[in-house]
Amino acid sequence: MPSTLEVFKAFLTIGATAFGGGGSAHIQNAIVTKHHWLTPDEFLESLTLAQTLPGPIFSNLAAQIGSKLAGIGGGVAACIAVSLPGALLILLLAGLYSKLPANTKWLEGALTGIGAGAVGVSLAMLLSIAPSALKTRVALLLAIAAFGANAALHISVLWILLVLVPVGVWLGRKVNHA
Amino acid sequence: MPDFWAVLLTFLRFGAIAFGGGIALISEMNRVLVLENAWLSPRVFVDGFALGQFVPGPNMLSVVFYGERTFGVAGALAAWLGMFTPGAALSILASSLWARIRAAPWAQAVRGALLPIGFGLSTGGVLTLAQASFHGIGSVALALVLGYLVYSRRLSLIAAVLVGGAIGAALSFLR
Repeated sequence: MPSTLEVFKAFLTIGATAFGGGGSAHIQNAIVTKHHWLTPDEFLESLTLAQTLPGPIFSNLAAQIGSKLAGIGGGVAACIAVSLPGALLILLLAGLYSKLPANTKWLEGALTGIGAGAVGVSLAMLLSIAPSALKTRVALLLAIAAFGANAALHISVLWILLVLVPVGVWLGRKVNHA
Repeated sequence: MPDFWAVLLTFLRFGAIAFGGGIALISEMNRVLVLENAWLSPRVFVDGFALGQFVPGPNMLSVVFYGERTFGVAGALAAWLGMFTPGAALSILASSLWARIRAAPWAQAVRGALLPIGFGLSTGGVLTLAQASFHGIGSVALALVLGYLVYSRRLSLIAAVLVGGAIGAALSFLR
């Protein structure tokens, strides 16, 4: 098993090179393929759990795998390391943003294009996780209900969860018993 | 203007309810930061999200940008701590507890309900993002083409974002 420092270094590299999202794939590549610290099965279980918990999946997965590898200190180290390079860079950009002239046409165009790229990347992610998230009719129903409540009715996520999770557990149980 | 604690509490709440990953939160953050409190303008909100896609690491690093725009460097630190601490703490806790409860039927049932709900919220988040970042039919087409190329693995994620930015900048000279 790696030391806390080794975990920190591995996740710092991931945090500095995983551009534009897709963090889970970068973590899998480093921890499973490169370092052999986890088996593919162990990784998949961590990923599922990271998606179940609140918070950004990327840093949740880092914290979870870090603590699995090197205890609580490893979890804290992994979470900080994975977000530190990007946090410093975006802080720098935020400082520059206020100094930019308001009507820089090409920059507005570039940010609009990056925004379109971000939407495209997000759509690709939705398509790729849809098969595992929408396995049953109940799951599809829950997803549509959550989508409608969130996107059309603008209900707070907290309320959506408080109502839909019990409903989902109840519907899921009915299906399992049928 | 808010202070450090107001920013910290606001983002702690975001971090604690962000099921389905940070992207599920986009419409909620838009509601609270732009519509309800008016800490950010719609344009700053969208630009911050785009920059969050652009820098390496978690996409939700856009909260560092939102925090800085709201209350300077201290606001950035507050937003960072608030967004990442709840999930990280729960993840560390869960990794030791999960081994013991993983076989329990209720744990499987809750997980089975949370995954599709998280997916639905994420879809709503992408729709909100699309509504905010699309300026005309050209950006819709660009997003669909780039999305298809990423999904079919012909383009890496960072390449898609960079190509989008380059095309957007190039088109601005034609207008």
